[in-house]
Amino acid sequence: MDALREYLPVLLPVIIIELALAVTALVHVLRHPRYKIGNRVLWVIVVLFVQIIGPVAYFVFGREDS
Amino acid sequence: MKGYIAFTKKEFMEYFRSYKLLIILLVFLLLGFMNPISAKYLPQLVESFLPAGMRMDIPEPVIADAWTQFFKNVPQIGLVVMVIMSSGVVSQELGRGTLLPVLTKGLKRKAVWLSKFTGVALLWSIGYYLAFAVTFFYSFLFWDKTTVPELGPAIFFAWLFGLLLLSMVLLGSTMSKSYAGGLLLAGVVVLAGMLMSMLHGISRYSPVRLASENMSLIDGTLKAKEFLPAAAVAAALMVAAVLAGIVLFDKKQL
Repeated sequence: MDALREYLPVLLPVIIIELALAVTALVHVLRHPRYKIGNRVLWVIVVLFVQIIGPVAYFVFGREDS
Repeated sequence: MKGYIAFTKKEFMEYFRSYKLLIILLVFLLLGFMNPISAKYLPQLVESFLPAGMRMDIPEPVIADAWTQFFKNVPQIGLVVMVIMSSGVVSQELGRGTLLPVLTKGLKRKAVWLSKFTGVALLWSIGYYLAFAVTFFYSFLFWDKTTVPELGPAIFFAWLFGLLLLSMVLLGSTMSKSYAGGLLLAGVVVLAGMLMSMLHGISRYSPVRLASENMSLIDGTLKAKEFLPAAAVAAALMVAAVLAGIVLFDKKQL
């Protein structure tokens, strides 16, 4: 617990940015039914569990152009 | 000129709509924060994971370690993200035929290609210097002594290398119909540069040096002027890629 309290202020910006990326991508995945490659289940997993690269990969390779 | 500015603005609108701008900003912001943090706390972390009784002498982290992290992360992860993002900018428009209406309305092809390059170059510059600014100012929180020699040139050279790669991505993207063209040409340039770095006589002309040996500038083993031949080669290659891209794009069937 002490370690958490010590490191949290330092790690906070990193955590916030990673969450922002994941949430933006997740919202987009759930609101769009079609993808260039893959399906919804795959992208939800990738976006939530692959740090940084997951959301980036979704927006570049998975997002269907409107 | 008017068309060029208008089309560049349109490019940025597109970056905004396609989430590219957001991703680049977030990724580079993240990289910027990570450098000083991992430099400062990694040794402690390693120590806490060592089995009891084992001791390892880890030197106290200094500001130069944060810059080591910067040059390890930003010109690599950051640049890879940037290259992937821009790999389709010309080929996609060619494939979809979305350029047809603007070109028939009288916008010069030259202006279109230059706008495309300006767009990715600006996006890279914004991201890169954002990461630099965050690392620079966040480091003030961790260290008292924050000056390092030759930081300016080291930062500039890695940025120049990024521009070179992006010009190659755009040239490759103009040549082929898919994402692969841009990625392939950029890959070839990196590979050729790495081979050049290995050969004794010509290693100092290799553009790859600009992004791989920045730490010798920070720790003072090399002077900035020893990078000038490589920087000149990179700049010349970039200009050549831009010119070739414009010529090729001019002849391209839409």
